[in-house]
Amino acid sequence: MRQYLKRRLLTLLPVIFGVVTAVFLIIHLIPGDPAALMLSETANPADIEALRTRLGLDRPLGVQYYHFWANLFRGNLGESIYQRQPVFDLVMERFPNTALLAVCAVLVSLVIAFPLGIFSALRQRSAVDYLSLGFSILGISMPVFWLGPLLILIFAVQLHWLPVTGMGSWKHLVLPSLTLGFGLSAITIRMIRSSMIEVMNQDYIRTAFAKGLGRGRVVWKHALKNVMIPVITIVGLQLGALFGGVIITEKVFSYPGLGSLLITAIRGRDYPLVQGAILVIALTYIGINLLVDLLYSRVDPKIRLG
Amino acid sequence: MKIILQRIFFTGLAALLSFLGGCGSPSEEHIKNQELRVALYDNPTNLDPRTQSDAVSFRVIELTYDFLVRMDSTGLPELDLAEKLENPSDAEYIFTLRRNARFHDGSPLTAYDVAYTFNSILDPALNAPLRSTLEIIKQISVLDSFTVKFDLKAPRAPFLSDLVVGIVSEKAAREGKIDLHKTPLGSGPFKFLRWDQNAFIELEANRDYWKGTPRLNKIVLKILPEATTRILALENGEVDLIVGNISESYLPNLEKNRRLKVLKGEGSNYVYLALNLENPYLKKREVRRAIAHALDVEGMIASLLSGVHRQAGSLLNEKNWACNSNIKPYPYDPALARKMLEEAGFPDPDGDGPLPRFSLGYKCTSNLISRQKAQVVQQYLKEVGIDVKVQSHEWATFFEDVRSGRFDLYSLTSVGIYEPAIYENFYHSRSIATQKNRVGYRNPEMDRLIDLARRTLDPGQRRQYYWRIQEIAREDLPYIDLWHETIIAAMDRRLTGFEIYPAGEWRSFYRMRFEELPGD
Repeated sequence: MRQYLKRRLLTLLPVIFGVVTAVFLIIHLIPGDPAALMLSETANPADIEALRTRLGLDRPLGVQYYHFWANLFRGNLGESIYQRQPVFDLVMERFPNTALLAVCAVLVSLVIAFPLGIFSALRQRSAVDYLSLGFSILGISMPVFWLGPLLILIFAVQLHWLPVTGMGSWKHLVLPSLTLGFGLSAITIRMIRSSMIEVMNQDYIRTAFAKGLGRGRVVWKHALKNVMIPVITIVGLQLGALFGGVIITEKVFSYPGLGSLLITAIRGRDYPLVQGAILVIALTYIGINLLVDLLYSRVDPKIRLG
Repeated sequence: MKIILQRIFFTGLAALLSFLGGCGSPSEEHIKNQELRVALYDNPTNLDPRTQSDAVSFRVIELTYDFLVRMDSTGLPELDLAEKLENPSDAEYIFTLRRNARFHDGSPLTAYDVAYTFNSILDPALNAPLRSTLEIIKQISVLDSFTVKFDLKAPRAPFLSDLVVGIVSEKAAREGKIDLHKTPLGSGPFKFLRWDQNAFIELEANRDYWKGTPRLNKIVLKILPEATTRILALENGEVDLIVGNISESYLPNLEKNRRLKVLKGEGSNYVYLALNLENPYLKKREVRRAIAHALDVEGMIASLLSGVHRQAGSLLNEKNWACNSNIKPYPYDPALARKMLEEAGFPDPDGDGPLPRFSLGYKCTSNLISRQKAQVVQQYLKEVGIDVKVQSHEWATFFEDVRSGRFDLYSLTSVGIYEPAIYENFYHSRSIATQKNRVGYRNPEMDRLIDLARRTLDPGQRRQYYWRIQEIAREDLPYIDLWHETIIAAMDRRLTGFEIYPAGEWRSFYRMRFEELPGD
């Protein structure tokens, strides 16, 4: 296990290098001058140039790139051009919000997906099976920017059961988590269903039934663990993707997460903030993937890491 | 097992129903406590009045700082912190300050703070956006604790409008113990309490405010970037007021909502279509006039904007003291447009066929209204034989192209227009090099009039110059006037005292309060 971890951490380095370099090049090469965007629309070119100099943007790209790495090795992600605060502080302010939303969304998707996936596998071509199929199609088809406002309209505006927006209590998480979780569950339901069908057709399951074990015991004790491997994979990928991909949900619910911070930074060409935020998202994604791989060996003893 | 599961299910259902039964209409405590919740459409970036450059930050600054001078609804300056102004000569301004203004830390606001504020703006190290505008100042002198003098390098008529800047505390700024970017320390009607980044800003009433204690006890500015979410939050009672940035399509529902009221006021924001005079077709005045005749601007306002805004005849809105009310917009007349294009030397090559007379590129942002506007203009110009290719970009890319002159047509909104000296930015040839006159317009007579209007302090004479400037602008037409935006505010109907100002300012907030209405 230790060897495995060491190897995985070593592979981290080229990934980080690739991500940082790609983001640096892209954000610097796309049109848009952060100094001009920061000052008013009628700012003079001389003032814009003075600001570019103060921000170090007049230096050659190679020099800026070198300074970014030099700061990174010192644990410094730089300062936001607009907000004049350390990028690390700004990102860490939002990171827990996005993490919380991502985890809640995944939990919601599992709460929906597991029962529906398992029952539709055990009762193929029944009403439950068709219901879960319909549910999946709905979940994939309904975009977040449509579902979110719809849920707000029903549960907040009409029924006053939940708040429209904001943070600070568990009630604020319900609608955004449902919005995201519904879409995620669509794929997970199908994964659980097909995985379950495959496992239930295995010889050892037939043997378990032949020995007289009850259906519930066969499913919960023997089949479910083997269904988990592909589910863990899917859930891991979804969780990682959520850290960079909940922008629309954050906008709809005015939820102060990493996605909305990143979008604002990109729009304003806040280079340090874009680079810092994407680096953190990339590291999170890598960390989640590592966790998923470690979980495999727990769930299935046949899998050995190292 | 089945029985256990059933019991768990029904217990959970009972708990859920109990919880939901406890939910109901939103709390009204804030009304009794005179706490106003306002929706902001973006997160402020910088609350230091000397260096801020975005409208949202300025709204917060308006509530927490005071200004030497403000602009009234017709665009004329009125004294605010200053109670007296003397002009020994055209280039000298002596302000006598009120003696009872205090910063929120209790220290008095003096002439030293005023001098420090403007001197720091002039310091290149601060990179203040206003520095180039205020470079006309030769010297700022403190004559006594409540008297400050500005000496200018030359007379400048719009100088008072340049002074609309929140006054900062010299002591607080020099000590550096608080970061004025994030923690305003002004003398305004509301004191800063806290800023939960990207969630809300909380202010409380300044009980020692020199104009009188505000009638609200607290203001919470909720940051809600999504337009639909702002409206839903208002309808749900989670915010009490939205000012501006309300899509016209929401109006019917808001006006039907008996809990709310909608106010509209004539704004000064100016929406225009810019025509690049470097383009071989657009450099001909007859072509530009033909394009003006080809656009049914009233139709655009009716179809895209629910008829809410007002067609513009000039850069200045109808209430502005310098607006030339004799100027009328170009009437919609596509037949005349076609005739003018023929006479300008651009015949339709195939009559009613698909071939255009010529093609133009139209750059717009990815914002919905911006794209819709571009498509409508494209359609109108197609009808007179001009092919328009629309390219939409996100803001930063669009702005880069527009600043660099890489466009044939574009449309933008110029916000907060009060002072007619803004004509210099749009029309003076000197502004081409500074990338403000982006269409490349040159007219020596226009330059002369603009320079005269800038130097002349007599309002009557200035008005005459600006009237002539507006006539020439209409004749030469490097910009086609589209509309002046009407400001829309939607609020809880119990909220009183709110007034709409042309640039959307929040000057009436300290007079506002919640009052129960008869029959409630």
